[in-house]
Amino acid sequence: MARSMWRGAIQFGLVTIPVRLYLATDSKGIAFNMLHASCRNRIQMKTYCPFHDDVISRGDTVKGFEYAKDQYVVITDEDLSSVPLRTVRSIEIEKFVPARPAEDEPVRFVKQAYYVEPEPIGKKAYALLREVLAEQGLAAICKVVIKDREVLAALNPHANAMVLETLHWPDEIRATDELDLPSDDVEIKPAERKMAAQLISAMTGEFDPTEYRDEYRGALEAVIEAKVEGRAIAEPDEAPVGGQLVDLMAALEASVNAARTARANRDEEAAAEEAVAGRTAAAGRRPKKIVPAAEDAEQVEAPVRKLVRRKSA
Amino acid sequence: MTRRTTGEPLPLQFAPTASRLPERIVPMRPTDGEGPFDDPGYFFEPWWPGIRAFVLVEDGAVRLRAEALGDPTAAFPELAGVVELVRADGVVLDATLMVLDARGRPSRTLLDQRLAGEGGGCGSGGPGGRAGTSRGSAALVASDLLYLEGTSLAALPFGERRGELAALLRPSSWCLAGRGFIGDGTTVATALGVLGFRALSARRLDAPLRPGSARDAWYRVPVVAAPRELPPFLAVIRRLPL
Repeated sequence: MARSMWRGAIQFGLVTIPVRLYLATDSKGIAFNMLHASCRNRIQMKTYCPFHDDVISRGDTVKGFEYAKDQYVVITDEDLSSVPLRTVRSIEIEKFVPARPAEDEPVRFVKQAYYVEPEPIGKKAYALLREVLAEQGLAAICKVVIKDREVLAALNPHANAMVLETLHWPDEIRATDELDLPSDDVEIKPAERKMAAQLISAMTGEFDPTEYRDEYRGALEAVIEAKVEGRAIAEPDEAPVGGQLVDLMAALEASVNAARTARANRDEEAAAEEAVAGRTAAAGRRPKKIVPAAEDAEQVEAPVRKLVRRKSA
Repeated sequence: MTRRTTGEPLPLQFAPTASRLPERIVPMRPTDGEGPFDDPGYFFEPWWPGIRAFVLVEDGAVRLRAEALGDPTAAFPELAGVVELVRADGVVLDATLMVLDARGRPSRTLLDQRLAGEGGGCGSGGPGGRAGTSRGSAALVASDLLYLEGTSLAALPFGERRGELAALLRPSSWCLAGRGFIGDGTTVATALGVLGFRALSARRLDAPLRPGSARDAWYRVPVVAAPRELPPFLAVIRRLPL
């Protein structure tokens, strides 16, 4: 595995577990370099000092904090390491909480995931903490300083390791007030709800991340490869994914079922009203319905498959 | 059902040909209906937005006959695959031919482009080439079976022809027998309005095929479109085609 990002210790109560953090994820985007359009040479970004009118090296720079307009205080590495905070070299566990946020709890907005590896001396304590977290279904909410920033994090057991997920601070999370969201009193008819539920249930399955891949990256790589080899770039493939007509039939089916339900509900209500009025429902003014309910309606049909989105189980 | 071994006198014109299938098909034409109705003797299905086409499958080859267009087979090379979906030979399907866009919705524009490319022969891929197929994908919804094993089914009631069709055609993502409902036409019409269909097809189950006007055997019933303002949940449904 790559170089560790961070060294320190997990702290809770009197227990100290020395650990290292490693990035758990890679960013697989395709990176481009900037070239000068006319000569196709790679451009350089120079660090330039306008006072000396000269290009300087990065080693000749220091960190400055702008405390007022054009007024800076220089912060050195020594200043940073002397920050009087316990979390500088430690992952300070504040609280143990259920591993999965409850329904009424806010979503945990994850910034970055790190694998946590114990130093040899901390292996046993590490295993113990992981075991108990997994057994009790808990996560540890902690604070840690990574790259000059104190971050909130959740420590979770993950297979035989632990994963530290850094979270956004509550004040970093924007409110939803500015969004134009539907109000609570949107009127949804039972039939509409049922229709939506049917469509959703037809597409419900287990989440298996291996089923998904970054198709944009694949297509972009193919374009690059074709250019490298001097071939013409393939046209975007508009060919449909399978199941299009089947989707139409499924939508039709769901819509008809919803309409039938809606009608059955209306008829029931009307029958009840008429009974109250002392009349028999059969004498209603509505045109006589010949096929009364969905179950009775015999159907001649092609054996249309159900939605085929799901992978074969 | 009983399958005839010899053809009955047909209301169709034959040209001298080795084919068992007719050179010319005189279609049954629907009667314009006034509005949706309920009748247990009728079969209701969407009026699919496309062109009516007869699909002839014989000796492993597929030919198309479309009204006023002659033979658009070359514009739809992918329809050759119908052969693999039909479990018999000497077959004529009455179907609606559509071209679906990238999101799976029937597109009149794409259909017209295909047909125009076929007529003018301006496709860059040459006659019958794949040039036309990059724009949308062809889709067939079959609604009736006119011939089976080279024999006309004209005298059979629609219900039986439809049953034969369901048994004959293996449904695929782009070609299948349409879904239909017996009896409650008004309910189906409501559902179609929601989905954006303009019309409903109502066929009498016990009616044989007759060339020309269908009279009461087949109605094309206009459907009232649902109000344009859709409840928010319909966003889910709108992700589906139509």
